Amino acid sequence: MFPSIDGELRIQYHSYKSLPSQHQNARFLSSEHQSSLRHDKFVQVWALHYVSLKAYEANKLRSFYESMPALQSFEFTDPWKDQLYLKVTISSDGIHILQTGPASYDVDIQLEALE
Amino acid sequence: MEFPQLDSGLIVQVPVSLRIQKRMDVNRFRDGSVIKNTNSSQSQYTWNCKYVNLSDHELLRFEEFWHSTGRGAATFTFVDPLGNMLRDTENVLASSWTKSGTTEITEAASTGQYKEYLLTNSGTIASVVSQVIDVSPQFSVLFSCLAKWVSTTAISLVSSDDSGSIRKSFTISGESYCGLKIAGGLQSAVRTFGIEVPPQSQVIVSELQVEIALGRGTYVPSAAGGVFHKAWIEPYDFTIKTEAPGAHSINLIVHCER
Repeated sequence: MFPSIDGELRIQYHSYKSLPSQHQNARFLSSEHQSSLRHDKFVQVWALHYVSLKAYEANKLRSFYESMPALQSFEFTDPWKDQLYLKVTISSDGIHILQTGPASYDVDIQLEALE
Repeated sequence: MEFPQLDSGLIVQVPVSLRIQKRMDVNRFRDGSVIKNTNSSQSQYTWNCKYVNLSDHELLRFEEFWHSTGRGAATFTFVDPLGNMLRDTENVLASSWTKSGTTEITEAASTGQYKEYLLTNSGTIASVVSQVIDVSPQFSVLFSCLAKWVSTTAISLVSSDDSGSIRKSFTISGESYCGLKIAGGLQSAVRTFGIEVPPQSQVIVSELQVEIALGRGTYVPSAAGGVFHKAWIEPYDFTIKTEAPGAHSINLIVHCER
């Protein structure tokens, strides 16, 4: 479950992207694993921009991202529609934390889900 | 090779930013399809450090550092300015923490948002719960924790290396933040930070932190620790902008993988 944050959240944009993808799961002889998603539907994207967070709030988001394996999905509630999405991932852009003052942080993170 | 320190004792100015990205190969094919490959469990950390109004001798330190890295070719150790240098601060039972003597560590029922640990010394000599981390002797660091006990108890914060030790003792009644400032006095880059519990005593501790700071900053829970080895600067560019005599600006982008 994506962490809940008390601080101010400004959703920069909330969009739908059309990304036709192939599905492929492969494990190679070297034990490396490669996976991708197949979907004919839209990808839903939330660009979340938190401003003036306290340190513990920024670190809650950071810890969540750091502890999450890449492409691991989690639950996220759309802050606009209050609708629960069960399989959401963090985009390959990762997380961006800006310390703007001694105890003030802005955080940007982009989430993606198959609708 | 050590990252330079400002006259203030800090290593960055605010604002400073950090981007963390999981290592991932994203390949898009001609039909628009995408394959994301997650072979690596590593993440790339990128700090954007902007410095303004650097004095001549602060700038000189950065210039010397830049040249000592072979103009960006060599790696160095970098301390995450947004992090906590200790490891496993939310798991004092982890192997990165060692305990001496008869100390027992148990997780206490936390009343706050962070985990709390009960340290019990039932022996006849003081015991220490400690962790070893790499800290350049040039840096002034602050070792701190929140300590609490229902009645009165005592602890000491201790930092030591091969050349000696520095300690500060505290009487705890209720709860209070304890801090040990270390500015010089120790010579080694490998240093132990510990909480010493007197004989026949107990204390609850949480929010353990070591940071390069002027005063105690907000606690940052830490799993892997904020000391990053083999960091590098990229792009290989060291541009100095001088706004006035003795007032210089530079921008360094530091990367590391973990």
